Amino acid sequence: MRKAIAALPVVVLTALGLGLAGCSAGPQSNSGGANGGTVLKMSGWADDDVAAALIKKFEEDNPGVTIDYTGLPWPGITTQINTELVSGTASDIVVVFPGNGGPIAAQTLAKGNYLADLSSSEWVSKYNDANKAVMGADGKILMGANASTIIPAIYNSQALKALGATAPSTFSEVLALCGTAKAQGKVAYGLSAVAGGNYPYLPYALSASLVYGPTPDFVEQQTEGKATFAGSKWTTVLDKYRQMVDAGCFTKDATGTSLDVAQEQVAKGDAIGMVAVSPQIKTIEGKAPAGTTFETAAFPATDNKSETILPVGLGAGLGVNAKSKNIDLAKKFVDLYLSETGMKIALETSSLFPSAPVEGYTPPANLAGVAEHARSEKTFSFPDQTWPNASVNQTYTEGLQAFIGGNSSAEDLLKQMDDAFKG
Amino acid sequence: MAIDTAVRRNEAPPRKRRRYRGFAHSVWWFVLPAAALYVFAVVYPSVRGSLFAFTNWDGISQDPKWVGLDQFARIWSDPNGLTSVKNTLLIAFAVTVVQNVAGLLIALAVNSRIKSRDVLRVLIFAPVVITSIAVGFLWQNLFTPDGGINEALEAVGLGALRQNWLGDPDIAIWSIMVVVFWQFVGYSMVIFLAGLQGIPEEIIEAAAIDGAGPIRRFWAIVRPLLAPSITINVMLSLIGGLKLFDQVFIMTQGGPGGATNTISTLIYSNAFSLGRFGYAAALAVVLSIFVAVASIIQYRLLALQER
Amino acid sequence: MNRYTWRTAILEGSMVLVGLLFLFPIYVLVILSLKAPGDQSAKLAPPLQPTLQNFSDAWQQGGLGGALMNSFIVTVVTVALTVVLAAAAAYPLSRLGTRWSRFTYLGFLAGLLLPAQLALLPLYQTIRDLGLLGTLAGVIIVNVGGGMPFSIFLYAGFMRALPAEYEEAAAVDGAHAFRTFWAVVFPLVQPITGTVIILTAVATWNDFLTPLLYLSGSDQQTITVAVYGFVGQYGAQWNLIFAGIIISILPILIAYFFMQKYIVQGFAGGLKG
Repeated sequence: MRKAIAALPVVVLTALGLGLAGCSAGPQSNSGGANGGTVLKMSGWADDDVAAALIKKFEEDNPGVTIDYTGLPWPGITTQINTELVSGTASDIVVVFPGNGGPIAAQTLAKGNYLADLSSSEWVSKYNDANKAVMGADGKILMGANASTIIPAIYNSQALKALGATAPSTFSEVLALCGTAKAQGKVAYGLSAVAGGNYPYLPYALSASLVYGPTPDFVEQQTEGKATFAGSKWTTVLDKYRQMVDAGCFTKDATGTSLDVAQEQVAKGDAIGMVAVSPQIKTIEGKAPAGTTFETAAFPATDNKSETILPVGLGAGLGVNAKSKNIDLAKKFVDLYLSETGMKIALETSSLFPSAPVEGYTPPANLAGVAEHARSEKTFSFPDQTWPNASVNQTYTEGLQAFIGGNSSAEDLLKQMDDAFKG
Repeated sequence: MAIDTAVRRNEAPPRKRRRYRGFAHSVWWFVLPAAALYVFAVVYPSVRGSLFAFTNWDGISQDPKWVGLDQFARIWSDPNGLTSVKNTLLIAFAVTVVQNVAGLLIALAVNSRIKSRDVLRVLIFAPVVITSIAVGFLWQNLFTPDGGINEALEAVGLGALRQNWLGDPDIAIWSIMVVVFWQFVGYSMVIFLAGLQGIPEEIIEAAAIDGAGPIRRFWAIVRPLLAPSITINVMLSLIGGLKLFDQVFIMTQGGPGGATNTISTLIYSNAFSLGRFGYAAALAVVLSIFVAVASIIQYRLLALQER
Repeated sequence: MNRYTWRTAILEGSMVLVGLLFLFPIYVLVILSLKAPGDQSAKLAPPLQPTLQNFSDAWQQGGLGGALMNSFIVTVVTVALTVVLAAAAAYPLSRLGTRWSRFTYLGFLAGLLLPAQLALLPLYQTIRDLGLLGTLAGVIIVNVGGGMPFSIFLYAGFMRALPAEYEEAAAVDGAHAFRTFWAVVFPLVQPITGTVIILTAVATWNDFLTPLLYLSGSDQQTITVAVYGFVGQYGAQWNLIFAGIIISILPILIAYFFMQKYIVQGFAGGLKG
């Protein structure tokens, strides 16, 4: 032991030397690679096959340029990219969320001018005004996303068939499905009401048909003080959620059930379906026994089919660091990402729903039930993307947990959301 | 031990101090490297961080304004602020009491003649070396409604005790405390064990021959000798309880409905999700004051009993 | 006094029960890591077809080999620096009786009170300005600085209890202050060094937020961050997480097993003060 301790300084010095050597060879030197080429840094999602495929293509098209990719996990990615942008250490290309309400949402970042203006890019014209409204702030486009996220009801086809039912298209049919499933010892809808669970999405689906579809300028009215959550059809939204909870539609003890467990219930047919964002279909499929298939349908809020509005929002996408030393090159990558070629590469690699029409695209079978609807006029983006600050969303997700658990009333929740909206 | 002894010892007789005078000048070089790193990594950034408490900085914009004490006033009108202060104090108090009482009992037991003592020492200490992130994930899985805990209760015929451990706002905070207890009772055990090593068996035996019962023997003889371990244990569990973050963040993120927020989770969500950096800094300053006051009070109380 | 009585037997029985309660979560951890994703066997039963697939998948997908190496480097250097710097600083603080030494000691202890979130952003920006982001050196500096209060606290308590005769003898022999410290005092505080080594090693190995923040943007990750990578936005790969957790705790458990007698000794020594 004594000898070992005497050797300590040697170990320390050697290791320090190693550390410092590592430092000088580290990724800090971001201009000029070993062979004189340019190195672009990109911070994206962990294990993102689409990004890998796009990087390969970009490096082929631009000899001498290499992209140094860092994959970050959820939810650390938001804190990480935010801290790096604020501290001026961010990559050239970063993940950005559309709209408002998170540390790396386009409008949040716009306040500090951290993102480069992409308004003059060619792909901007592919998007409608509703899309553009969440892609930037003050008339500037600050991010683009190649995929749309849909909030459908996702059903396990075999479980649905075993009940002798089809996907409900009216709210009465939804309640009927709950009854049938319950009689068979199952639940109709898998629900996870813990942080990160799918519980916020069902009210989004209901509010699209009940609030935002009939009153598309609801948020503007709120901003002008002419409308409130508590004085709107949001009360009906929560009423219907309550009806479903009381009718036993959902996973028992949802407030303690993790998303993982709820997804597994759908995968195994213990729950017939779940209302969730479309990228979760892939996760559910991964948990299902071989041979299980899944289908999707718009989730109805009324008994008139034609009133159903489907929530379709822009997914997370990419933006360019305004402090990047290679802004033009970084923009060029984002251009590729949102070009027809880029979208085709993405579609070959992964099953996503492209944010703009792509020639020859046929939706995968599990999205067939909503694909046409998603391209129609009867859609609305997610409400949280248009809320003015992150605290409305936090109040909503926190308060909704208490609401589902029966610990707070719809009135209280909506009143708190109104307070948060005013800031 | 601890600060009090330090202070008392420092009032050493003057004769002794003179002997060290020559040595005093050169030895400040001993302190310098440690002090430099400590100031660099803790003091300076903490001071800079606490300055944000007097601004309205949102973590994003580049022109924070001075707002005086406004951010501190906000704590009392934030509904989450009150719950989190309450939860923080509850956790710190309960964890300190239960972890130390249980840690002491376990230490006494594995210091006895039982045959399984060596295995038990390793087993009960094992959770201490598991990272808090992993502990959070593991227990989140155990606590799900059809997870390990409920299944195990069912298996031993206690199915009536099934609970929605993390989903029921009245229970979730206690579930988190169970996890903290599981993770850290081994830490207390080891420190008490160390204290027990210093008590010669003869002293206890002598008391036994005198006819003192086990409880009297413990209270009159073992407890005073264990006083230093009690001090260090109470101090560590109290500070740990007040600062608790990882386990809550992984298992509930403060939910359901904000029922398990602690000051630390509230600091995190305000700074990094809500863009209220100034407010988060104010909460952090308040937390530091809590920890300081609690440490001083507990230290004074325990110093009394050490005498 | 050394008889194994019926009382001892009752105590033994109840302690075994307590031990089983502590073991239960670890048992669940192990069986979960051995189950294939679609395994249908009962929740608490051992898997019908145990598989090591999760371990090899986690190892490859998470790049756990490189991550283990990084964790190892960070831990060894942090521990070595902490031991040397804290022991050196605690020595005069426990020996000098001046107002300055008392003030400095309390200044170090104050570090135990400050919540880490307060320093998070300013420290990040300083490390950035020094160009140490993405390097193991940055993480090590943050760890060593942050670990000073607790380690100095432990060392100072122990050193105060050491009789000063040995050093005085060395001083009479004309030994330099540093020689006295290194050749006489440091070997004498060996038990507390064991404690500081194991506690610092556990804390560093298990640390999550520091490496996540300071190593992001580089291809260097530590084991805790790598395991956390299996948590996705749309659901977690639990079987890989649990296999990864086991891979990540094995080295530290093994180290603990070999060091455990120093821990108890060290605390025992520290408590004499």
